[in-house]
Amino acid sequence: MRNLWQLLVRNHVFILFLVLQAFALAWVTRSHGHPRGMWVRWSLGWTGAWNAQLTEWARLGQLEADNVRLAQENAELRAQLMHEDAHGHAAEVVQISWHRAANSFIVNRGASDSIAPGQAVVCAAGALGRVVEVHDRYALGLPLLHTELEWSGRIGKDGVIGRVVWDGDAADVGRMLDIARSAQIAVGDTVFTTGYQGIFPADIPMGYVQRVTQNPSDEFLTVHLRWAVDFRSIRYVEILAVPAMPAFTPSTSDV
Amino acid sequence: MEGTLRTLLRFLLAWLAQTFVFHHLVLLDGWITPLFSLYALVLLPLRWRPIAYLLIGGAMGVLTDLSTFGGGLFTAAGLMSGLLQPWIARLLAPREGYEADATPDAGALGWGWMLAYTFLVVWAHALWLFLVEAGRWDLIPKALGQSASSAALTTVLILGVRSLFNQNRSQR
Repeated sequence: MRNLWQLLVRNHVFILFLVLQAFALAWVTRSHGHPRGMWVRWSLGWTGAWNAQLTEWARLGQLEADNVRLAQENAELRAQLMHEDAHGHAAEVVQISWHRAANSFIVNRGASDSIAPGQAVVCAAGALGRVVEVHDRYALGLPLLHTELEWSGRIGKDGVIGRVVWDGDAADVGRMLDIARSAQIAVGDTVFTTGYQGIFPADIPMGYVQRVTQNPSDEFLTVHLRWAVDFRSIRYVEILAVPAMPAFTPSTSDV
Repeated sequence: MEGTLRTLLRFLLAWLAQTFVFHHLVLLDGWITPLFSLYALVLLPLRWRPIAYLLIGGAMGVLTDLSTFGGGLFTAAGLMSGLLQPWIARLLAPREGYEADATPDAGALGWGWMLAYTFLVVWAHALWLFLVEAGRWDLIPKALGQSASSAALTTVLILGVRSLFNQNRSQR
């Protein structure tokens, strides 16, 4: 017993390190890539303001007012096109990362603009990501460039469906998995959102097919795609609130 | 007392600089990620008790995580560099050892020592940060490369700022 005690005393720093490291890794596992909660909202308030200021300084002298007005108009028109009940809010990206495994972005619209977690973020080129946390004036979102997220995609407007993922390497390419070998796919085909996850409306471009490879270990194809959105230069986006689908109630005549 | 205040001020400034400036200066798709919050950690006195480096490294990591949406990554990395910092100091100790109140100082210990010490502490931090962040075996080679390049840049940054402060002090 005394030997055990001496061993613990001798290695108390290392033991404390292991305990604290376990807490830190638990924090990473629980929140990494899905930052939510009070601290995130608190931090989002002032880091969002600072990022917005940085963006403003960086873009002084540009046709700011015209751009905002056009983006707002574009958001509303796009929302109407995508879903007759969808409601669009124009926003500006004030910070985005694309170099990490779990990336995020901040936009200058928040709870006071009716932005809520779960809403889709798109831009003129295609799908960007979804909102996960909101402050009064800012919202935090996760882009397609996130190794722990999967998105539902369809090749062409009526083609095969698969999981769209990012493997954490180059910021401009993603992969589509679980595609049957019999699928007809051509380089250059567009991969659209399916609307199945309740985040994006259907038929928003996610990427374009670059090449198709056969998986040696199974019967499926992997489709390599180039993202529709250039995450490095994204600026104006639209946040879409797509109303929940009404519950399906089969009529007696269908049975 | 003055030394403690200066150390606290240094931590505050390093944290603010990391949060408001260097967090936004990530270059080459993440291959150059400045970790300036380590500035104050690297300059801690060399003969404190090992547990102090561990706790201070962890606390600095928590602060950085909260202000940059790190989600625990900087805490894990701060604990790792805090654990290894006394060991690195021992590894690089001169034959006669350090004086009781020794601090990392190029004037007293030489630029070669300063460079090696700063790089190793920063690399320990960056390596753990990028490895935990990668979270997958196939991303480990990239994490190794990113940690080495980011540690090299951060070392240059820390030594550059340090030499500026030293220059100002010697001019006064």
